[in-house]
Formats: sequence, structure tokens, C-alpha cells
Amino acid sequence: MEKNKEKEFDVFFSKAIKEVGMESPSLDFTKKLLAKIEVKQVKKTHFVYKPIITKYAWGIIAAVFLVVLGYIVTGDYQSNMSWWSAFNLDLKWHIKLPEISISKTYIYCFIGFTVFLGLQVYLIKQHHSKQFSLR
Amino acid sequence: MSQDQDQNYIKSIIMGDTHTLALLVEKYKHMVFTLAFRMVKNREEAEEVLQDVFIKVYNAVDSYNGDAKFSTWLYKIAYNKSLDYLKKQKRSLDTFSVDDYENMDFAEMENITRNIEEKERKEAIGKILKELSAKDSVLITLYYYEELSLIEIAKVMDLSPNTVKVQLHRSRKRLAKLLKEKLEPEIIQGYGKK
Repeated sequence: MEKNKEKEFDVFFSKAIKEVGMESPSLDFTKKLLAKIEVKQVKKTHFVYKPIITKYAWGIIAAVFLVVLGYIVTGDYQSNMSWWSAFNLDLKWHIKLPEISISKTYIYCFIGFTVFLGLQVYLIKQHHSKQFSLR
Repeated sequence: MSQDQDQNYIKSIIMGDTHTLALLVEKYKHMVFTLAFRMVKNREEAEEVLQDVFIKVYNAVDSYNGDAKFSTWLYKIAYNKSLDYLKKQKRSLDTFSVDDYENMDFAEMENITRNIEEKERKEAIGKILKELSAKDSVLITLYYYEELSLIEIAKVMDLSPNTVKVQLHRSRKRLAKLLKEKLEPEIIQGYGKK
């Protein structure tokens, strides 16, 4: 019974609402909209984001970093090293440079700190990109 | 045919062709404006929503994957933008409940509306659409005017087709109640004139 009523109503109201038709925006709506989009487009092209370090460069940096890290962790690495002896320069006559000795703990801490710093920079950049994006 | 045309428009817009965007705007602006107007109930505000909708379409057109019809995707943006607008204005989206649907006689209602002049009838229906809640208005417009299926309406409103069916049943009741309230005095007035 109610189904029939619904059908009756549907037929009746379909006709009624079509009689009312659609609403129309102002006549120059499309023109105004396109003008606004073009302004936004100009702004966009003025401020195109270009990274200082390209993806390719980041790849090389990451590869070098991983090789060095791999060498430190698994390779034949001396924690007590004398930087200046590597140059084979006889400077002892003129100035006295301190011998630098770096412990493994210090190196691990430094690497950890660097990784987290890099991560933080990335996250902050993402946060600001989202905040100022047009979409 | 229309869908193929929309796909061609979209390809051109992705390439940055604003002339094609103008064609797409011309094609859909009336329907999107109607939806926005029936939700926010104000011409200036509806035009603001309409502008936001097409800017969003232009910016996000490459994310349209063609799963649904372009019009469904567009109406979904329009619906969400209108909802956002109403929420920003802290305006209500709620509807009132109606229980006396069983007593209504739609055949009689059709007779009533048939007896009113076309102009008056249009005005009365227009007023009734304005009095419906934002969600009821969209549902009614998409179902009766745009003749979308329950599945398509579900996509626009982000609901399940079953929920749409239930909501449509309730919206129909509220609409019928408003029709009865508004049209009966009109017909009495009409008799008075005669």
C-alpha cells in the first residue's frame, strides 16, 4: 500500500521539480571564474618549487653515506686514528697539533643524531608544504 | 556520448587548456549552482561555493580516475564544499521528523497542484525546496530532478545505497508534509479569487 503511495508521489514530484527547473548563477560567472584561475596560475608559475639538491644528488649522497656507514660498521676500521699522519707531513717542527681519537660510541651517537636531524628537516618541510599548498 | 565528451574535456584541462574548462563550466554550472543554492539557501553564498567547486575541479582534475561518471564526481565535490560552507557558518544540517505519512493522499495532492496556476505551483514548490534541510534538498534534487540511481547518490553523499534508500524515504515524508502545508492554503486562496 505504502509502496504504491511512494510511486504515486515519485511520479508527481518528478514532474513538479522539473517544472521548477534549475537555478542560474550570475551571467558573468564563467568569465570571473576563469580570471581568478588565471591569476592563481600566474602566481603558481612565479613560485615553482625547485629543490636546491636534486633527487639525483640525494641518491649519490645516500649511496656515499651508506658506503661509509657500511665500512665503519663492518670494515677494518681503527677507532684511534691520527688524521695528520695520513698526510705524511712533517709539521712537528712548527706547530703542535693534538691527536684526535674518536671512540665508537661517539661515532654511533653522531650518526644517529645526523639521521634524526635529517628526518626532522624532512618532516618540517612536509608540514609547511601542506600548510601552504593551494589544494 | 556525454561521458566521452567529458573525458575529452578532462584530458584538455589536464594539459592546462582553460578554454575547455570554460566549456565544462558552462555545461555543469546550472546543476552545481542548483545543488549549492538548495543547500546554502542563498544566491551569493551559492555562487561562492560554485566558484570553489570549479577551482577544486581545475586543481584536482588529474585525480579523477574515471571510476564513476564525471558528473557524480563533480556533484560530490559540490556536496562536500556546500557542507563545509554550512559547517563554517555553524548552520544546521538537521532535519525534522515526520510520522503522519500514512495519512497522506498523493493522488489528492496531485489534484490540488493541478488546480493551481503553473506560475503559483512553481513558486510553491520552489519555496518548499528552500524549507527542506540541506541534506534533504540534495537528496531530493539528485533523485527527482537529476534522476540519479541510489548507487550514484550514495557515491555523491558518501553513504551506502541502503542508507540512501532509508534517507530518501524519510525525505519523501518531510517533503510530502511540507507540500500539504503549503499547497492547501494556496488552493483555498485560489478558490477565493474565483
